[in-house]
Amino acid sequence: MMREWNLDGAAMTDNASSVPMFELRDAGKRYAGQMALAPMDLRIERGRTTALIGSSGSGKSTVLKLLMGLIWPDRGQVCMEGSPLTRRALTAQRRRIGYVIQEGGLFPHLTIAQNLSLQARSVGWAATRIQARVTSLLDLVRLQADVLRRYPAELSGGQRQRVALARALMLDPPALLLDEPLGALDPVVRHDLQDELARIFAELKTTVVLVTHDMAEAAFLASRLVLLEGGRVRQDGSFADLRDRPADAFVSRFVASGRGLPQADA
Amino acid sequence: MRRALHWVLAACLALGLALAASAATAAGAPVRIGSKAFTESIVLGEVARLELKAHSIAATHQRNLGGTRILWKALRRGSIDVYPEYTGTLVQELLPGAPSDASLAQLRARLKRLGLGMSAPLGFSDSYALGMPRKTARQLGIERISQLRAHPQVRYGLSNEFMDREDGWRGLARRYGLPTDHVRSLDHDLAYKALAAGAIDVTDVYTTDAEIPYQHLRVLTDDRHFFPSYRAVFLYRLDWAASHPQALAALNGLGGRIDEAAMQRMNAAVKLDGRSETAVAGDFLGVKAASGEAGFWTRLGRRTLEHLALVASSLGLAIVIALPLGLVAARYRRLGQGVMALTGVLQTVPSLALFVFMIPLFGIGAAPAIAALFLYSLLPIVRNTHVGLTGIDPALLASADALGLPRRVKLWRIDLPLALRSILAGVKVAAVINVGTATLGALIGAGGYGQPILTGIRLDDMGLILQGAIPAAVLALAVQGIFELVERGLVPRGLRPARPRRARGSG
Repeated sequence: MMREWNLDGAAMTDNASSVPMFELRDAGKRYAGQMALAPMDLRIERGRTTALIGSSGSGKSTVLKLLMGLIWPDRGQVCMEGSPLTRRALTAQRRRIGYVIQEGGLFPHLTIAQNLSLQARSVGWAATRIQARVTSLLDLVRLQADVLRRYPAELSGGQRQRVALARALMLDPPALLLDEPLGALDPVVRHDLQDELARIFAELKTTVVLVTHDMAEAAFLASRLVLLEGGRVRQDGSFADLRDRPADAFVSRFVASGRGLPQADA
Repeated sequence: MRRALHWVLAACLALGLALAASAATAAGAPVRIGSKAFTESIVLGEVARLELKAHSIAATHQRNLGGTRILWKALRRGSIDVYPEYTGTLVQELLPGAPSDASLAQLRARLKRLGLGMSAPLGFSDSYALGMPRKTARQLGIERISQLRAHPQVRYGLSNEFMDREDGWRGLARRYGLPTDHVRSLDHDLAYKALAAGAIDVTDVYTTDAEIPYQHLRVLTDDRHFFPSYRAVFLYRLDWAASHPQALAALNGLGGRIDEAAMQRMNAAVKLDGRSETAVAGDFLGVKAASGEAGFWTRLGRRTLEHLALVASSLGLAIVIALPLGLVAARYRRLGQGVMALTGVLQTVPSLALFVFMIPLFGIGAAPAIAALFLYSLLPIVRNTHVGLTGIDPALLASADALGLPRRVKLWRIDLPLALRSILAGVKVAAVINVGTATLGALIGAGGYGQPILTGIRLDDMGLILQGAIPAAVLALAVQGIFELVERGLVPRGLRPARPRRARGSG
């Protein structure tokens, strides 16, 4: 299949709303005295896919965890839809975010059906509504209904990630956070799922934040790339920006690591 | 702090207490007699019960209770009303500060300060003495201990305890200037066998041992009055006596009626002829006594129920308390360390000691046994709950948080199910340990499979021991099996050790 590359970020622009989906305001994080994330301002606009890329330890996952409220900044503020994350409002705020991690985070003791419906049941959805939603989500992620009775251990890695994505989308959240969602998959499955994700993101028009160390994956799925290193943003822009106008040698090297990407016209 | 702990425990065990159904102490309720776990004490308990019955006074007999301390505490606490004791034990162990040659009146005065009273002495004294085969004694012309000094070739075989006691061999040898060359220490029962085989000439005996007439032993006269006197009496509480004057009169009526020879015969009838204590006591009193011994299967059924009640109620309580403790320990690390340390310390208390510690709090019977077993069950359950909860993959916990699950839902749908295997394993360990440890409950009157084991040990009857030991082992296996079934039923397929099924399809 020929891939349509989304190189300059022009295809999707910020929607009319001026309030960003997420915003870091001078937010920083240290672990045991080590700087994990230098205090930074970062706006994640609605309706587009933003990739946080960098090598391990660059701070990209820290950003995602801050957005999710799984960790709290030492200084500054994390805002969602204009209001700061607070412990009090966190449960409600998290229900407006879908979250997928590398190994899917599916609960091994629950069937796929139970994994999918857990969140909807906790907010009191009726069984028929849950069932209808599950059916349409299986359709979206292209899984057969027979997976519902099975347990996560009985699925392939790719199937598990599809389930994890469906689970994250259960309440139709306005934002989707993906932390290396394809990191544990073999290259062929990974390639197929990248296509699927691109299709799904386009279909949903939702706000997506994707954490990955894979330049090609970021360039393929996201219109905006935020390249981090050592807890700092090295460059923030479209793939074309990073490729054609790298901020420094590090960015050049990182871009070059995405072999097979379309090269700049000679 | 300790007091607070007591109250907490007491509250926790309300359920166990309800099961234990302690009898009322009011006048008109049956007289509760206790006895220690050796033949003579049980026979005396039966003598008291049958004598009261002959006076139309209802009485129950809680036999085979662990030891002096247990009876003493049970009496003072009001769990029993009467039990047979020895004046020597009062002087040596129970009334610290009493002079070793205290008169009966002096002992009575000291007991009175504790709210206790003492019946008229029954007649015999069951004290230490030295015994020698009659034939040897006649040949050497020995009748008194002082005469042993002239016969240094005499071989002594003494029980371990007697050897080490100041009121035993050490003091005795000093008082009489006895030689210490041919002295060996060995087990009391073996000493009798060694005497019969002619391997030793003298051993320490209790003056009412059944073996004395049976093996034709001569009890040497303690002509320098070294051994303290162990005269048999009944102890009772004064408040009980005030409301039961007829019962007290009946017990005092036994005064002086049992001499050494009579007691030796009764002990021999039980230990050597295998008759029941009830029948022997009935014969002595000249009353017909239904032995009350039910058939084998009835007894087994009753003990099984008693044993199961001990295990089930202590385990149930432990689950109710230990699960939340484990949860708290897993959530708050500091507190968790304290909880684990405390339950760990409980586990190191020797089981018999723990049972005895419970008596001042819960009396005798099922309640203190349940309390002790409860405390023993805490550690495995708390620890495994803690391990199970803290061992959950952090990614799964993050996922649960990310889904915005309320705490309650997270606990019941995620945390506990994921820790379930570990928790169940802890409960299983506690249950199996309890089945074994509950046999000690018989020492404090809780019944169960420990009853025949205790009696079997006392009477050196392997058959009786096995009547308790085999069902206990079977029960332990059954409990283990039941828990494996429960585990199979409760633990979802997704968590069982994976026989990884080939995943169908890909990505």
